[in-house]
Amino acid sequence: MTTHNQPLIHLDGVKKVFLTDEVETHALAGIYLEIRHGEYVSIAGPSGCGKSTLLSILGLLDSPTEGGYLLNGQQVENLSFAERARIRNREIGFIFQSFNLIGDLNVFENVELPLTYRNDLASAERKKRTTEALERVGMGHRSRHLPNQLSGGQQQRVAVARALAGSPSILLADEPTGNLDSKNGDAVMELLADLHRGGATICMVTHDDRFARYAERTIHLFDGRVVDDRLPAAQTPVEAMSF
Amino acid sequence: MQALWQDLRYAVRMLAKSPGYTLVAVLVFGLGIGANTAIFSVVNAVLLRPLPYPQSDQLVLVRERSSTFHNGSVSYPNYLDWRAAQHGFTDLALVRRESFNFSSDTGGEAQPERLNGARVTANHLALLGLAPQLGRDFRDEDDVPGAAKVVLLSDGLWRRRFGASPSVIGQRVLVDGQAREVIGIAPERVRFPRLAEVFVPLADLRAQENVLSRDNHPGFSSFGRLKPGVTLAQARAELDNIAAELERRYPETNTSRRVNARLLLEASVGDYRQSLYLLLGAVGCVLLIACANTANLQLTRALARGKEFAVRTALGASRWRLARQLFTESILLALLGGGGGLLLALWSLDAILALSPQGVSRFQETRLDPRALGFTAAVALGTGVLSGLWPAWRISNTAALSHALRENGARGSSDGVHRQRASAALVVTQVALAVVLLAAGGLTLKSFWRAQEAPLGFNPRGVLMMSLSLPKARYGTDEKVAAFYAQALDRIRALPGVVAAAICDNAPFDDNESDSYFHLTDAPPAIPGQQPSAEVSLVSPDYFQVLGMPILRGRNFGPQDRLGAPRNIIIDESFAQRYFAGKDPLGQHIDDNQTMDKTAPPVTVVGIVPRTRNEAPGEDNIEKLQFPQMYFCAAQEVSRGNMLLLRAADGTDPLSLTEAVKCEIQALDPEQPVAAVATMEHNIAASLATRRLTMTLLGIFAALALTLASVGLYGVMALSVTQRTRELGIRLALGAARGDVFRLVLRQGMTLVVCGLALGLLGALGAGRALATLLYGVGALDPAALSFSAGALALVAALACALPARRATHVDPMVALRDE
Repeated sequence: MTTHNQPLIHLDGVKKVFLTDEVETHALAGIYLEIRHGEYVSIAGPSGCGKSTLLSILGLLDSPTEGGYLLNGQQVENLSFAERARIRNREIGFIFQSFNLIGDLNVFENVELPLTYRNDLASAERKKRTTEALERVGMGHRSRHLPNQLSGGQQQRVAVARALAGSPSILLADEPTGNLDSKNGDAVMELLADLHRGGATICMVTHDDRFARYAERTIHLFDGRVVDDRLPAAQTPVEAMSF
Repeated sequence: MQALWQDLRYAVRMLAKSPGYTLVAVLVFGLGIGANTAIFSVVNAVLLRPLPYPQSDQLVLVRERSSTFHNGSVSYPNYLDWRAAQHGFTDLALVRRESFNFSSDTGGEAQPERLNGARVTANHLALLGLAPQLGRDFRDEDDVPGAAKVVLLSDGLWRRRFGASPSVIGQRVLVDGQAREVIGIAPERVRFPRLAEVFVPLADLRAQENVLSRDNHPGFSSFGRLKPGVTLAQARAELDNIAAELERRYPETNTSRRVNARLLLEASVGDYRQSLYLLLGAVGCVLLIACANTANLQLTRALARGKEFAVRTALGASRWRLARQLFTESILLALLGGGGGLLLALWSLDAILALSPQGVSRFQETRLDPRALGFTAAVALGTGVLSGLWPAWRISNTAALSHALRENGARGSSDGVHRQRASAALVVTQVALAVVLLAAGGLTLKSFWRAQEAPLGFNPRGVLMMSLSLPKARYGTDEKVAAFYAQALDRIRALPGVVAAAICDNAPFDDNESDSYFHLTDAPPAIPGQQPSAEVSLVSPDYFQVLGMPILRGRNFGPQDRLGAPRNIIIDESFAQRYFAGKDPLGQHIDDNQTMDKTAPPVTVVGIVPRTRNEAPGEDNIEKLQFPQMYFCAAQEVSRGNMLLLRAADGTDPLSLTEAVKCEIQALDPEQPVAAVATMEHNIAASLATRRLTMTLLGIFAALALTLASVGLYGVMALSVTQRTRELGIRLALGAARGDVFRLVLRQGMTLVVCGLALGLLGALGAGRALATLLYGVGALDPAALSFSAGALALVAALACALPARRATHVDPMVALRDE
């Protein structure tokens, strides 16, 4: 596991307010959070507690209404669209609940896709990284297949490979097992655990305690605030909480 | 029937529910159907409608064909021999277009008029299958030299000049100064010869020396009616055999002479066939684009109604039932579009006819007749079926439907382009057809520009033209004719605003031509049938000044070139280059064909002028035969009929001089009318009428095609962006910059465009070939025209793609996080 003195992610009083029909909705009401290099964090909480909003801010898909966000030491909360796109591409690997593979691209092209948005990467290097990422998730033999020729579990493996291919600083996983049966869900969680053991920093949103336990640290959100942040060993049994 | 009624009611309700969609679809259908109706109406009126005579498909125009002229006029003796020897026709008639000075002999105040008319043999009307509506027809005894002078009037002239009074029969009128008895009124539908209002028998012409000469072809055409059971080919073969026999008997005059026999309808309007069918093809392409466009609209809408159809299927609707519902909507839309198209056609016909050649009455007779209405109905139904076919198949394909429904499931992969293959194919088709039309439009535009810019060899600006013809009855001698014109020119020259005035019997762009054989004195005799020919004009000395033509060498005609003096000519540069290469043309002698006196001394070349273009670009005399030009002095070779030409001073509108000139003519001879008053520039523009019509309509259709194809492309791209929102969000989430997404969408659209362009350019090559004979100064594969069409389309298409592409860049990457 890699160790760094500086946290990879530092959120300082992040708030997010949505305005709809003149009604203010406080999705995040002041989040203070640090994630260090090599950590495996799961974010849990009931529906509407702000998990997805937090993940979208962590992934630079959205900006906080208020508060500061340091990613790898860089202030990122007020960057332009283009700058945020660049950082998403280089620093963040996304794993989505519904895999989000592009149906018209084959497995190899899907994994290669984020690398094609980097202008400084030669074609040979792209191919090498793509191949390595596919081998790493055990999907090298299906690289010419189209997504609809794969099972859900296989599609999610490909999505993990796509997230890994760009060697990001952190993997953000949004309910990665949400669309999988338990067997395939377990397999994907094993894969993430394996990646974590290899040094990857992972931040996962899940509402399934069984999978939350794979993480070494679980953060509970409620009404847009962190209500609990502890290692699983010291954690109050989740079953006891009335989420 | 009840089910059909139910479908119809439901279709009306569905269309009323989406007024925007309905309006766009009806508009697209309306544009396509309207353009087709308008052009079909013209094609029907000009080409398809039979001539207004009984069994008009038996009427055949017969002209002479030689190595020089494909469609030459008929020698009178040849006509007599054909008529006597042939058996394939019930009879043959002879006609010649002429114009006559016409006035009533009743001492009324009506001005003398110069009218179009015809010299005809007595069997003219009978062969057309008609009889006079009033009075009697010509009899054989009216058509012999020395017979009593009689005349038939057209229906139009009778109504206009005599108020349709039956008492006109038996009245005397003056035709070219000669009193003639009106014996009958021709039926209203007589249109042959074109525009004729006065008909007189050949009669005295039959005894004229120049008419009786077999080597003279004084503008006659022959026509006949095929006997029942005889085909055109048989009749043509028989006449050719007779012509071959005449060649054997008269080798001096008839070598290589055969007949050119065509159906009268073809001879009348055949020149417009290619242009009109080309336009029909063009609007056909527009209609196909409209069909593809509406098919795309309907497909999109049908897929959006997937759930509705799934429910219907679940409730037991058959595939045919679902398809029929969509067909009903499509046909209803097309019929509404057909209604709109009819209105568009009605509105546009006037504009089309204004662009049409004005001297061709069949153009001006264009109406939305029952055949055109039937065509519109058939096209509307056809387009409704055609554009409804694909959506109906797609939606009635239950497998496809179920797949479409599954697409909303959580398979986790976006599915963009595959679903749109059919739409893409339709867009490619639209783009390809638009390129073909743009290329055709570009070619005709450039061709028209080249035709307009074709060097004339003279300056047409400020030149006024009018025709006048002195009747033999009052101007019986050459001296009288020469004196009249000399005085007239003196008076006109003295008018304020007139710089110069002249006469010419064969002026540029005067709808008249005069060609003649000649022989270079001292050269060996030419092989019969291969004599050189030149275009001949009889001009007064100021002619070259009026047209702004310099005398390049030698001298102009002058007072010394008078009647009775040795005859001189001026030739043009091309004559000098072709026949006097390497020697000085001035002083050379030529045996001309202008006098019946075969012992007349040759003419002498005294001057050289620039080559002029006397007819519209593309005419045979210019492009194929390249006749050189010989100018005779009007004082030495007298013609009763002439064009009067004058040059107006700078700043003077030539037409403003018309009345003053007419007054001077009337002052000299109150019975003398003038006609065909027009500026030279107007006549030049009129000579390009068919080209202008083709160019303008093709341009409009190309623009329409471009608009429809671009709208179609925009629609498909906009739909694609909507359907790919999630995919685009994923790409943005993965780090794609807005520029990446913009280029992605643009590339997708432009890929379709490039495919369409490639197919379209192939089609354009074919269209260019079809156009080749209509083009002037432009190759069928003209790179500039093809590049223009491809460039214009690419530019507009890029814009059509750029708007959805720009919208794509504003997709929120957060959609990647939202489950479907």
